[in-house]
Amino acid sequence: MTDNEVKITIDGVVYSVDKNKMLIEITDELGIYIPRFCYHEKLSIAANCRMCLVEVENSNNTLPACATPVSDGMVVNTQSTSSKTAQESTMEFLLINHPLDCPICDQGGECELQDLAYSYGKNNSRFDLLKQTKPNDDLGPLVSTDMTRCIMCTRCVRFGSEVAGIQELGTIGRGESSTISTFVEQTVDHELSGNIIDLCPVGALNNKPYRYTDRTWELDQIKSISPHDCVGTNIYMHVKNNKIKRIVPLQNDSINESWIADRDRFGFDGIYSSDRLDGPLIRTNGDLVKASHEDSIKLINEHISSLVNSNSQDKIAALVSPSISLNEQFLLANYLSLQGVKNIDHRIHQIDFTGDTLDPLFPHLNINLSDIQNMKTILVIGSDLRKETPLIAHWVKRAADKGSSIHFIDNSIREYHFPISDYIMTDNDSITENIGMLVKAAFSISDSSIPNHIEDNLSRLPEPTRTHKQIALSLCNNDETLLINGLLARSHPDFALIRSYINILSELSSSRIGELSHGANAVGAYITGCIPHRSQLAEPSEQGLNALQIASSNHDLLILYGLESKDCLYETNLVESIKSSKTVIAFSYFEDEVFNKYADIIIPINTTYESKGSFINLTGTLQEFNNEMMHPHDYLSNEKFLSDLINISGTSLPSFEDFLKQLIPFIQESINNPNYINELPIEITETEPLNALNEFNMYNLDPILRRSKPLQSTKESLGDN
Amino acid sequence: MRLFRLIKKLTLIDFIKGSLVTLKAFFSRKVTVQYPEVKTPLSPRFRGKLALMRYDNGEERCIACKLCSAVCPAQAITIESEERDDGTRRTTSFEIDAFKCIYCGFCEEACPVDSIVETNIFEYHMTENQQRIQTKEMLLATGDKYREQTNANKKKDSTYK
Repeated sequence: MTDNEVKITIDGVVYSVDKNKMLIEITDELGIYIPRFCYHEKLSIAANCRMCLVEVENSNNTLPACATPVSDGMVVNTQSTSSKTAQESTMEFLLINHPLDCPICDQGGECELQDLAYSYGKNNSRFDLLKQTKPNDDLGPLVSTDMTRCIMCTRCVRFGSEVAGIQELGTIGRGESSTISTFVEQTVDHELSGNIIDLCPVGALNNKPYRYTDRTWELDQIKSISPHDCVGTNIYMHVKNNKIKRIVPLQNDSINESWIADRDRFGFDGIYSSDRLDGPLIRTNGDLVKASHEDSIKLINEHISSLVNSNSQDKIAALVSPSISLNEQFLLANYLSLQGVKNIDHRIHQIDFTGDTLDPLFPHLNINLSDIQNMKTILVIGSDLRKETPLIAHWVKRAADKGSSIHFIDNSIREYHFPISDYIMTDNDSITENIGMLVKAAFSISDSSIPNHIEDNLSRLPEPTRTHKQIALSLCNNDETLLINGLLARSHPDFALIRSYINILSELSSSRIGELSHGANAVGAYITGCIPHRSQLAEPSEQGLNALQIASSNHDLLILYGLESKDCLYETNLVESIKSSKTVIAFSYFEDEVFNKYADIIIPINTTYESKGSFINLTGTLQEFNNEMMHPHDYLSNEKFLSDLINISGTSLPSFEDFLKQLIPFIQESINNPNYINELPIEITETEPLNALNEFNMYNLDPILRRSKPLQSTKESLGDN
Repeated sequence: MRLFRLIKKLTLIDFIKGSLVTLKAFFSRKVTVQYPEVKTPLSPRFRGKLALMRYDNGEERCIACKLCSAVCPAQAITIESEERDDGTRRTTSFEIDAFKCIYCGFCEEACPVDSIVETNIFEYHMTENQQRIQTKEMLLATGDKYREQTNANKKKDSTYK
């Protein structure tokens, strides 16, 4: 027994337990069940439901287990008559005003109140007055309300103030007339707000799109990974008749705790959009005609082999979505490299490619998500963090709540619900300049001389202001520091320079660099070789055309995989390229106007919600999912299609297993020794005046989200906030 | 012992006993009826063809709680539901496979709104396999047709529930 432990007796058995914990945490660990409503392990303790009352010897009253710290010699009886009586009485009070509408309540079957009423409820009600009713608020298109069912546990309120950071729901009124409400009529718009659906122990807050459709006992539960951002959120898909009915979080404390973003929860709706493709289409005499998979494979092979035979592989180009699974990326990259095609890229959100040679082996966070909260200083550069990666924003908020200083350099003031130390707001062009000034400040603090190769650049910049100096000081003086390089910076016209500055700053202040990436599997795209400057596992290769060059030129054959022109930052260029390229092969989930007009072969592919594969998230964690049962019936799996294509072209299929064996050590090695290069990018002539990404619409990231009806009816999408 | 049996054999006692039973039945009231012209009486608890009932104002009772399909041991009931325009929970399809149904009556017992009931109808037929699926419309029509009779039966039985 260490100093930290005390001996307590629960139900006659002596345990030695951690003295800093509450009784309910101890019993949960020991597997002794105490009923509860308001207690949630990720939220603060409210002790207002009184369901967890237990008898503690030498105490006059029964005590709430969730708010009773353990102490030495404590004797607890969870099963004694006085515990049971207290719990039954609490239940009787809760049931006084709870409506008996379980048959029409969506929570029925998974309701904590319903379950506990079986064990602790009395058969008869002694209450014969009128039950109370409460008005329902309209909380927007995602959460439905039936406030009469509310038992005032305030989990949703505490979630708002502690996890989301903005208290969208609050308790108003006193005593009997207290109710959960938004007070001033408004919708719930936080990007994590869907989690209050899972938190609510009764049916007061429920999933609106799912409302009244299915009962929980009809659904199968399948583990999966959310494909909408680079975090790799763990989810459960609830499925009936091979159709996804809803998505709930799968608790993973090192990635997403028990939370998922709204787009992970409601995004799947897009795959049931009416414009889903149901078979390959081939353009004959100007019209798209339905064809078989075999014919389309043959035709694609003909197109490619004729170009390959005439040695004009450089006339072939491929743009790949960063959100497709690792297996598809592997097959696609291998197939094209076996044919000698070098023009392949997935970076459709990037404008500045001058730093390609300085690229890390793959963009990664260099830290576990759950360790972000231990950072002392975090600098976020060019990122609409809450919208880009809601869960990383959550972890950063956690750090801020623990007292870390959080700094921002961004092109507009964005709303964050945690204390911010410094916020440098500049216009888009001056982001680079500001980071340069920060580097300058860091050099003067660390008293090291500025190396020759950057002296020119830095000397051209204005002197750092007090704010810059403060941030630099905070970075240099603290041990655990993190620089987060956001998606807006990645889409910045000076991205290469920004990153070089960040690399230098990281070395000066010995900070970690966390790079966010677009899509769910950009890490996989880098590793499998869906980039023009490297092949598989970061082997050097001959330089091909990058995404911007591919989108801005004509090709004999243009392959688009899993993306639509709207996904691309340079949409107009890409549409022009699709128009003027000789042959366009589009692998697409949905019908698309541009493809309908100009594509020559359209191949329907499965979304990752319906296929087997894996994603590598930005911490380098390989996470597999197997959703093959969700196939629309006449679909061929994407892997099968690509494998057939490789087989028919006469080359042998590369082994994915062998690749996987090399993959894990490779990722480990590159994360442990991130080799950031402190060179500046070779200056090139003026980049085209392309519009950088200024605003980040979190529900317009991929073809699936764009078609998700619930998300498209949110304020964020309608744009009236 | 052997002698006793011999006497029993010779006097035809067993034969006479059996004939007496026949004779008794010959004069007693007949239990068979001329089906289908004449029908035997049915208990109000008789479990026949399933039907869906309505409220007096014509609104369907079913609220799509799916307890009947959950309790059904033969998995004969398939329900799809959604929120109707007026905000109430209603079924979009309610199908019973008449071949799967074993007339156990669990669904009727599970129903919180007395929507699904078992009528007294035990004689019905279909000419094609597909017709074994009874849709929501068919079930509601059955309910409407036998409304009075079913209600009367349920009322008779209600004192025992």
